Formats: sequence, structure tokens, C-alpha cells
Amino acid sequence: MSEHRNNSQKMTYREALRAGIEQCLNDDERTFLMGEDVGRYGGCYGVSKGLFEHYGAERIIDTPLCESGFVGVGIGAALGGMRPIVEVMTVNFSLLAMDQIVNSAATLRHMSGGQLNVPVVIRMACGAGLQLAAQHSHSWENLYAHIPGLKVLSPATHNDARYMLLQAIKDLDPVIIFEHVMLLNNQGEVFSEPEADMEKALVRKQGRDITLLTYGGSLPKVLMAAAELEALNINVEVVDLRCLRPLDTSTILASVKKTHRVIIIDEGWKTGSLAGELSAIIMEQAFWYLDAPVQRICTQEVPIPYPSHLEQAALPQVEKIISCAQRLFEGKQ
Amino acid sequence: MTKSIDITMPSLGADMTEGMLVEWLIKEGDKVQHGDVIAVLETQKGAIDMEVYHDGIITQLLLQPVNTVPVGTVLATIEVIAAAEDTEEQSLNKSKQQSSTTEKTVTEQITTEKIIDEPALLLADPLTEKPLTTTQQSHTQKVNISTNVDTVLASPVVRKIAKVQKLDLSVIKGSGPNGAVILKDIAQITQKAVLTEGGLLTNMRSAISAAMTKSKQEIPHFYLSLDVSINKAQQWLQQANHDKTPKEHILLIALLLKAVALTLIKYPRLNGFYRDDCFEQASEINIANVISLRTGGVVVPALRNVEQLSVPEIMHALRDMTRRSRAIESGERLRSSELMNATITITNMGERGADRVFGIIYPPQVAIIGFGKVNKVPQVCGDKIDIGEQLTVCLSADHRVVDGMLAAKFLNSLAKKLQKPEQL
Repeated sequence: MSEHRNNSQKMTYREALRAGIEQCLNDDERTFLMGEDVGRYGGCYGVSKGLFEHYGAERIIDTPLCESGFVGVGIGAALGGMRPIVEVMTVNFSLLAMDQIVNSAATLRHMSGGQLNVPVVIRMACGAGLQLAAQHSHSWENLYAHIPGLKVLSPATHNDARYMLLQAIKDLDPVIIFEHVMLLNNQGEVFSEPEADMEKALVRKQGRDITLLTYGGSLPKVLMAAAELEALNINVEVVDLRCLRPLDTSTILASVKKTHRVIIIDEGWKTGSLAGELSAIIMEQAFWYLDAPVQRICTQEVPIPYPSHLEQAALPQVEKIISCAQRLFEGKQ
Repeated sequence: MTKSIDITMPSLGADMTEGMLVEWLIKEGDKVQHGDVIAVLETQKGAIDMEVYHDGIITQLLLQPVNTVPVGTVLATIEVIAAAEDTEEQSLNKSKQQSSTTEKTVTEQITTEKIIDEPALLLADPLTEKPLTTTQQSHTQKVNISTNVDTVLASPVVRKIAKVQKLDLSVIKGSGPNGAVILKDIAQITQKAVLTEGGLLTNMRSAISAAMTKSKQEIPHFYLSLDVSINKAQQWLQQANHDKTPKEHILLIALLLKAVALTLIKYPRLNGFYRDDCFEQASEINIANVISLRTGGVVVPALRNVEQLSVPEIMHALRDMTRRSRAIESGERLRSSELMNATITITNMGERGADRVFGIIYPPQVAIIGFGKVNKVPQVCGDKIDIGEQLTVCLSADHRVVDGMLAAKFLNSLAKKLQKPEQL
């Protein structure tokens, strides 16, 4: 690992994603990228900028504004032997394609008795923070993490942005990748290899007092809170879930059994959330190791507001994580 | 009219969580009287004779020996005749009712003490904003008496550790929400357990550890000591023992106990309990005496109403108690009441001990008196120096209840009493 780290390169999360797409296109000629504005415009978030010019219209395909249609085409292409990457502009719009994803992609292997599998990768932007309001800003990872037959990835680091797509495209089943919009412009390190299999959760910071469980766009906030808590003599462990379905419960439980206290930071709404599922798993499998009730820091239960101050107030923030950790550590929670 | 009462596994002190029923000494249908020994229990303090606190007929034995159960578990039921009392009680006014509840048996008092936080907690619960009526309150109290072990709030991991290490959570002050015991509250104890015995503490060790840790964490101790000349006491003992066989000899400790008991009559604030942020003066003077066991560890059985006993009676009772404490296979045991009703404790270093001993108060008591060993010292007698005998009396007291001045007065009064042994 340290060897790979020595060969690290600095780039933005967006550049890491693009490098991943390029490698997939280079490695396998059955792979193509398809979605709204991914070609001539370079992608709504600029991820595929330059690819159209390099790979041409046959492999970088602009589609009409019809999620159900082009996601269905992607699923069909996968059934036909291709390895498509489908980009859906945001998770909000993916609901229009949910029938294709949930009723077709996720079920076909099961319903065909194993004769058909759907090796499609569907990438979509998610998350709030850019003042894109309730039409574009939601965190609905858990809607897909609910569905058997899908794998759901949430790359939170630059290295995962770089390599998770490669791992996903090799999978024989449909994989959904969520790319949080607040991560795109951040600079970070990319190593020469992935740090782990895509289904494995990783401890991003070792600690002894409290486990902070999180994923995706919340990871940088959690790491920031962890650093500030260190100054307050609270030594937290940060676990990055990476894969939201299937969940790497053994890594989660090992951390809980070590620290005895847990805070889950999840940008989804609390009711019916992934945070709720994680909490239930901990209750079922590590109850006797808990020293305090599991805490959840989630987004306020409103459609993501447009005004910046309200948007920020709705989201999990560093200060909230710190004060929750302090209360938990002092035995007040 | 008869009334059925549950006989539960008693709590023989704040540090007991469970006990083992070894043998029933009665059967269903037997008539029993208050004070009869009905069972043999094995506890952290060794084998104990369990007494019954009512007159009546044993109706059911619910637990078969040998079986270990938590404190508060119903072991048997007894039918008592209570008709006259009951109807009378119903017609009494509220204040009278309250006073009758304070006259509960010692078992109930001690058991309630362990869960004293619980009714308060229920009342303070924001979910039940409606104040409870008196009947509801007494109902909750009754429920709690039989389920006290379950009502200790503790986090899951603490419960698990407590189970493995046999810790009594009810004596640990919790710092979590609503006083729940959380990991950091037992960190010291569990750490010590690992350090001392490479893993788990024995029952008695962990019981002593829990009680003493609670005491030192919660009770603001202060300590005073006074050197007391005991020439007169020794002379008196010599005379008293003159015609006695060595087995009947009265030892200094009997005199000391009597002197303490009589001094406590004048200083009742040292004799009682600190519970729920206030001091309760005890109605009796029951002095517990620390008896160290040959196998390690200590027991602290109490002599009841010491102020009413003669010195020879005290000596006899002490010998008997010490023998039963240390008897392992003779079949003689301490009685449950002896471990439950202490109002103050003394610890006596004896001949081979140290010059002075500053004890740790046994909660919920508020004082412990330590007697050092007897030393020969130069004493000023008029204008010359004689060789005399003295011992150092140390008082550890709870500063929430007593101040230094009162404690000093107590010590001086005790010293004075020891100068007139014939009056003890």
C-alpha cells in the first residue's frame, strides 16, 4: 500500500472520475458512455469533458432527455454483451428510470434463473450544497441500497473515484455509483491502485472513543470533525462505508466493538434512512458492546432548500458532529 | 383475613447482586415466626442463615436448591394474618400511613435503599408529566422492591462486563443519562480487576472493590485521630479476667465497642445513613466489626443494640460472630440480619496491627472508627513520666453529614468514657 501511496498524484475528484472512465474505455472496447449532454457539452458536471473528441460519437453518446429510455437502452446493451456506462444527471432524475433499474436490471438474473445478467454501470450525481434546490440535490442512495440485485457504491475519496468504476464494470450485475457534487472540485491524492475491493468498508482514521460511520459527500466533513475532536482529546474512528449494498457489516461491527459508541452521519433524511438500517444492524449484532444509544446525524426532513443558509442548515455539518460526539463521550447522550 | 407476602432473595449489603439458595430448612405448610431461620444461602460473604421477618405459614417454596438468583427474586410465599392491622390502616390518615411505611422490615429498607433512585427517576421522567398520586407512588415502590436488580440503569456493554466480572452495578454511581452506569464509571474497577488477578476478581474481592470504590468516589471523607490512654481500661480488664479461663477472657475490643455505643447516644449524627442527599439517623446502635477471613477478604457483621449489652455479653457475642464468620465447614454461619442492619462500623487492628487505621466508610453509613494497636509510651503523670499504654483512635467521617468539631468532640468523649471502664 505504501508503495502505491508513494506514487500518488494530485487531481480533482472530477479528474479522477474522468481518468476512470478513460481507463474503462481503453481496457474494453465493449464499453461506451451514454447520457444527457455527456458528449458535445462534456457532461453536465464536466466529468466527460474532452472524451467525445477523443473517442467519438459511437462511444460517447448524447441521449435525448428521457431517463427511462436511455437507461433501458443501457440495460438492453448490457444484456446484449456490451459493458455500458450510463450517466444519469442527478439522482432526482433517476426516479424516471427507476422502473428500468428496479424492475428490470435488478431482477433479470433472478427471473431468468441465472441465464441473463445485466453488467451495466449507472453513474449519477447526488447531494446538496450547490444551491441546486430540491430538483437536483437529494441523497437517495438508500432507495437503491434497498433493492436486492443491485450493488450500490459511494466513492468518497479521490482514489475511489478513480478506481471504483473499473471494479464496477467488471462486475456481472448492475452497479449504481453515486458521485456527490460537493466533492467534484476538491483536490486529492490518487494512488496507482485501488485500496480495497469495492464492497469493503475502510477505516479512514483509527480511533478508540467513538465510531463515526459515514459515506460519500459527508466523509470530508466527518474527517474535519475528527481532527477537531482530536484537539478536544476525543479520539474517534472514521469508517467510510464505500459500498452501500451489500454493506460490509464485519468492518462496521469490528469498529463498534472497539469503541462502544457510534454516530452515523448520513446526508439522507432520517426516516427510513440507511442510517436507520446501520443502527438496526448494530443493535442486532453488537448490542452488548454498546455503551450509549446509536446516534444519527441526518438531513432535516424537508426538500433541500434553495437559499444557501437554509440549505446549509438542513445538512449534517461539522459543528453538529462535534457537539454530538462531545455529548456522547461525556455520557450525556 | 390473611395476606400473602413474597419472601425474596435478600440483599445483605449494598454490594450484593445475587445469592445462592443452598437448602430450605422449612417445608410448605410449616408455621414460622419472625426471626426463624428458614434457609441457608451462599453469598459473596459466605454461607448465611436466612431469617423470616413475619409470623405465618409458608405456603409455597418457589425455588429449588441449589440455585443462584438475583437479589429480589421471589423464593417463597408466606401467608400472614394481618386482618386487624389492615382495616385499621385503611382508616388512618395519610401522615399515619407514611409513618407506617417507614416501619418496614429491615430487609425492605435495605432493598429499597439500593433502588432509591428509581422512584425519583420515574417521577422525574418528562414522559409522565402528571404527578403520581400517593397510591401510585407506593405501588411503584412495591414493584421496585421485587425487581430492584433490573432497575439499575446501565449500558449494554457495562451489563455484559458486570455479568462476566460479577460486578454489582447498583453500588456504582452512574454518570450517564438518568444516572445510567456507563463504561467510564467502571473503567477503574475493570482495570483493577485485570491488574490484580490477571482477569477476573473473586466474588468477595469484586464486592469489596465495588463498595469501597463507590465510597471513595462519593463520600467526602475526613479523618481525625486521638491518642487515648488505656491504663485504666487495661487494669479493669485484668481484674475482670482474674478468675476467668483464657477462653472466657474479656478483650479490650469489647470495652471499646461499649464505649463507642454509649458515646454514639450523645452523638447520633455519626450513627445512621446518607441516602438521597440527606442523612437519616438510625434508631438503633448496631456496630459492625470488620472480621478478616483467613482465606483473604473481610466480612462486617454487626452487633445489635450494643448500648444495651453488658461488656461480657458483647465479648460473648463477638466471639460467637467471629467464629461463625470464619467457620467454613462447621455448619455455623452468620445470619442475614447481622449483615444488613449495621449503622456504623469499627475496624480493630489488634496486637499485630498498625499504630493507626483510617478506614473507608461502608456506604450508606457515615462513619467508621479505627483502633490501632496498643503501644507502651511515656506518659506524663503529674510531675513525672511513667510508662503507660495507649492506642490511637481514628475516626473517618462523611463531611456531608458531620463537621470536624463534632467529630473531635466525639473522640474526646469516647476517650473520657475509656477512663472510667467500671461505668461501661
